[in-house]
Amino acid sequence: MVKRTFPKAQVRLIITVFIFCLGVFIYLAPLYFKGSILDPNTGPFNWGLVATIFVGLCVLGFWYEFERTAKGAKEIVLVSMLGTISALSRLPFAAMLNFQPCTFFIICSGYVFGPVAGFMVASLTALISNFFLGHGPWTPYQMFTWGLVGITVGWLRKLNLSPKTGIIVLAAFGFFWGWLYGIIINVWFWTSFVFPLTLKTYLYTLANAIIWDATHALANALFIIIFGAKVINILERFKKRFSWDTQS
Amino acid sequence: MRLNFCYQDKGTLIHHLNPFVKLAWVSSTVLLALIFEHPLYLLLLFLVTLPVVIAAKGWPEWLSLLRFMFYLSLVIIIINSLVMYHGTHVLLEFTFEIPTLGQPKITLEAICFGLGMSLRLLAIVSAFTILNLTVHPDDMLLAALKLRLPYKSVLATSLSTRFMPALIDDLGRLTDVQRSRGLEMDKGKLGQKIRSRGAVLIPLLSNSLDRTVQIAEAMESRAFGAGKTRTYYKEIKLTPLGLTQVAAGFLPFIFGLFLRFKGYGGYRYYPSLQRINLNWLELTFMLILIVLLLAILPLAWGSKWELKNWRRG
Amino acid sequence: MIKLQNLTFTYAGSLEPVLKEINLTITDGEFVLLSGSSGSGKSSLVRCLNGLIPHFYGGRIRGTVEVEGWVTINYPLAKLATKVGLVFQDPENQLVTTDVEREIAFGLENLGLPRPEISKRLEEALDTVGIASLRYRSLSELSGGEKQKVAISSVLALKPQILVLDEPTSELDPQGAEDVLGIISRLNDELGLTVILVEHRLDRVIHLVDRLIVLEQGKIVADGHPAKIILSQYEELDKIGFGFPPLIFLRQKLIKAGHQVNDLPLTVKQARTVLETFFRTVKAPPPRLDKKPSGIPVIEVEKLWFAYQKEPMVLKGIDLRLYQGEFIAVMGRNASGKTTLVKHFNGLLKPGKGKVLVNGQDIKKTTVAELARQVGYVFQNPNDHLFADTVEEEIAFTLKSLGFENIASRVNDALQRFNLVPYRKQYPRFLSGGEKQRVALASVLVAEPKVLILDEPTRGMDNALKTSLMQFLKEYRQQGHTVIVVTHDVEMAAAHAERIILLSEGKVVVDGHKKEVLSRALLFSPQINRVLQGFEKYGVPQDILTVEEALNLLKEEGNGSVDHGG
Repeated sequence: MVKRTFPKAQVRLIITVFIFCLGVFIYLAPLYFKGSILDPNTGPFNWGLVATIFVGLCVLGFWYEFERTAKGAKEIVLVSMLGTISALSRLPFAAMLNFQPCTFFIICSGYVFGPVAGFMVASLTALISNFFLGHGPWTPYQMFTWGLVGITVGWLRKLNLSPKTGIIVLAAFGFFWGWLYGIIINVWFWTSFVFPLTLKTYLYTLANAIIWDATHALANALFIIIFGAKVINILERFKKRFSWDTQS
Repeated sequence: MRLNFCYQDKGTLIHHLNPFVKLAWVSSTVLLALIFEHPLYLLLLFLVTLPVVIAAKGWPEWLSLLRFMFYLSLVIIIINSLVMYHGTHVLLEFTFEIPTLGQPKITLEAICFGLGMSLRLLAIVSAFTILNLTVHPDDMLLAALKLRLPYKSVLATSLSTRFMPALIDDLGRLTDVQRSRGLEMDKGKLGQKIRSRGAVLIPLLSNSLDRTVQIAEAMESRAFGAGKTRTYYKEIKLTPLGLTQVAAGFLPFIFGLFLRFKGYGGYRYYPSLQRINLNWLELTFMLILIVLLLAILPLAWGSKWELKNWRRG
Repeated sequence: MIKLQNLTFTYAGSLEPVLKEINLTITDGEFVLLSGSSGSGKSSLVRCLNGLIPHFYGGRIRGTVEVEGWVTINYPLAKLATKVGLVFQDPENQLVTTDVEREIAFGLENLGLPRPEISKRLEEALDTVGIASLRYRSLSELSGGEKQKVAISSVLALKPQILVLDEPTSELDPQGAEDVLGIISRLNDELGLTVILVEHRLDRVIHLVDRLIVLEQGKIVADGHPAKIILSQYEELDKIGFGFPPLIFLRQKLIKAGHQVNDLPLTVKQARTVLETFFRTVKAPPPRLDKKPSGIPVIEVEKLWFAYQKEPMVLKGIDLRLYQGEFIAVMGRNASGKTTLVKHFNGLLKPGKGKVLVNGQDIKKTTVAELARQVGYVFQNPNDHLFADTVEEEIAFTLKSLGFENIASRVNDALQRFNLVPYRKQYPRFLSGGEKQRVALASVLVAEPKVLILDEPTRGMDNALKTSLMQFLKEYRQQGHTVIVVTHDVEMAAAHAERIILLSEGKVVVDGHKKEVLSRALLFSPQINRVLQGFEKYGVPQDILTVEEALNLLKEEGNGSVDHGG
């Protein structure tokens, strides 16, 4: 076990909460700073840039967290392998629009191995698949948004659900995240190419991707219902066989 | 099954250029695209990326991206024209109410704004193409290390690029195994199709976890995590020439920032399109910007004398 | 020096220890061959030597392991890496970077050595293994053998005094294996490195080593010079299914038949000297040519050409006719097109040009799923077949995919036929190697195909497993079915196949009875044949491939002492 001293954990929590608030603040800023210097529509700040930088910093933050918590080669190779599978799993489904199991793999990984591993698998999924599909300003957003899926599902684990209810909750969770993913990821498009930045224009941007997001949500739920138990079992078995804490 | 990196070694001078120079140049272009609103400036940024793409022999790949860019541009134009009513030149007006949309009217200004933003998108995507096509993922990771990004994450990424071909082989083989057992991938309803793919993905997962153990073992058997300080045999070295090139890569951004500060590069689309008055001074500034941006070509030529010299080890 | 005292180890979550009370001392510069059936604890023992046990694998450990004066439990793995280098079985799963230079530098970087030191050691490591020419290559372009050499080199860069190799050749083709073993023995010979090698195929190394250690069920059952062990413990080891090389087997049979064989031949050259007296007087008729294969054709290949997209041709005009009831071995170097060819037999690949008929049906006009009822395909690694939660489901899956009826009773039959009844509810991947192989076979054969294709079925298998697999294939053939194996295993082909198809560069070079194909060849001749090749001058027939045939030859010749050996 990682032994954390008590105050440190608190500091980390405060920092996390602070970053979270900052994120929400930045995210919603265009909606309430009308007319002030911070108004993204009239002010000198380019909101697309601000949001991208924030997202990039968040990713970096979690990478440092991984740097601190990953003890040995096992953890590193594991997240890397799961990330690769997740990135690769888009291939057999390439013909089916946004019907891919990446998010499903991220959810399973985060659920079994915890928030940090979940985030790492997620960010690697985006990073690696974009070496093949092409990087762009969307890369940090994908890393971040998928990363959030991995983190939140890691928290879900703390509820200690029974396997059966676990799957139902996860399926609902996956469905929910299918939509939320679209809601967050579209920010880059909205802030960079749409004017003015208002709630209404934002909703239009989202509406435009509605089929995409619906497939995503549906795919997540279906994958979890069909394979969730199985994949989680495999990962749990692995985790158990590999008692992460070596004792002798 | 075969999957290729975007990167292809075409051996051009752009390929040989220090990745930091390319990173600097691409960030310059992308940042400028984000701070400029003026369609002429955005067009200029977009056009400037083209000779570089061509110099990197990336034209066919660039063309294949056109469809994607065209689609996104269309979305940009449609969204903007539907939501923005401040324009004065109404081209089309809905006479009936559409739920939540109200009574949209499409104005010339909104369409023009959409076009301007499409140029922004083109410039950004096109600039990134250069990075995607000419920087090998390994070198990208070397750059990440040089930038002192956390080592374990960079290592995880580089392991991923290493596993990818092996897993692709696995996936092909596992598909063969299940097909030999009578599984038909594309038969049946959606649920059935998902299940058939599971018959391939699940052994892929199990095999990969076995692999994980073996690779972790092998790493620890080779002193992984030995000490606090790890050295790097291969890294990106910044020679004086390289440093100059990186500085030159950022120069367009600095100059563009200066222009924006001076009031150039902005543009008013609403309520009616601003008239563009070009004077000699502005033209000269634009020309300088072009020259600064295109300087990457002679810079790349300059690296001819120290081919891949930025790679140490 | 390595010193193990009363070492007992139990993996976390397991009840039975894998290693029991091991006491062992290995002195510097020794070349030790560690052998034993799968599951005997070889791999675990090897992992104790560099500290992976207990630092990496959790579990309970008793006793001590001392390496070069260090008790492993007190030192971290990273420190131990500079004392003991460990090379693993699968080259694919121990390389962590993308090119040769970086791979070798990886361990040195971990140690935090300054760059000039890394350069120097990199240079040395490349030269020691003789792979300087590969230096700038990317790992994905290398062959298995080359990758394994890089792995050895990357371990040597850390300058360990002890090199441990866990079945380093089991994933390689014969040529690659030969190269790697050559390097290993040179490292011991010239650099004085202590080498501990785990290996199944004794015929390749037994003459090179100073010491043979045999493990069985976690205990050392034999330890000493190979010759000494064979002389004193042959019977005992034979009983536990230890696979002796054919030469030693032949010698032992001769002794059993009452002959006086004083020396123990370990190599072909030695065997020619030792056995010369026996074969000098053999006067057998020249080899009879077996009749051409005939019967009902099951697979017909006509002018088959094939290439993977945009790549050079892999198969170049293949003509073949395979008949019902044959046991065919498809052999040839790596990349000669063997696997590509057999993948046409069940429709996994479709001909680029030409025709492939299965039971008269053109494979272009049918699907893999339809052919699966006629042709079964077992892949090299049984793990690839396994994905269900239980053995039962695994077998039923094939039937469901193929739309069979009476699934439950068919599954029951298959479970019985393959001795899997006790495991029916178990998770297939947690079974032992042999059991997994049986599940994989069952999952294919439950569809009752008339033709069975096996890709490298014996690779990395120990002797006992091989024997039981071959026994099964024999039974399968007795029902009039056809077996096609793709293999590098010459001894297996010589003992069990009938017809050999030798491919090279996408063409059939030789196709005929094994007696024609495997005799008098260099790389593709079994050990016994290579010995007898030296006796041609005495009129010894040159088509003898196995120990049994050689013994029969001596009987036929009428040498009374063989018949009524006393």
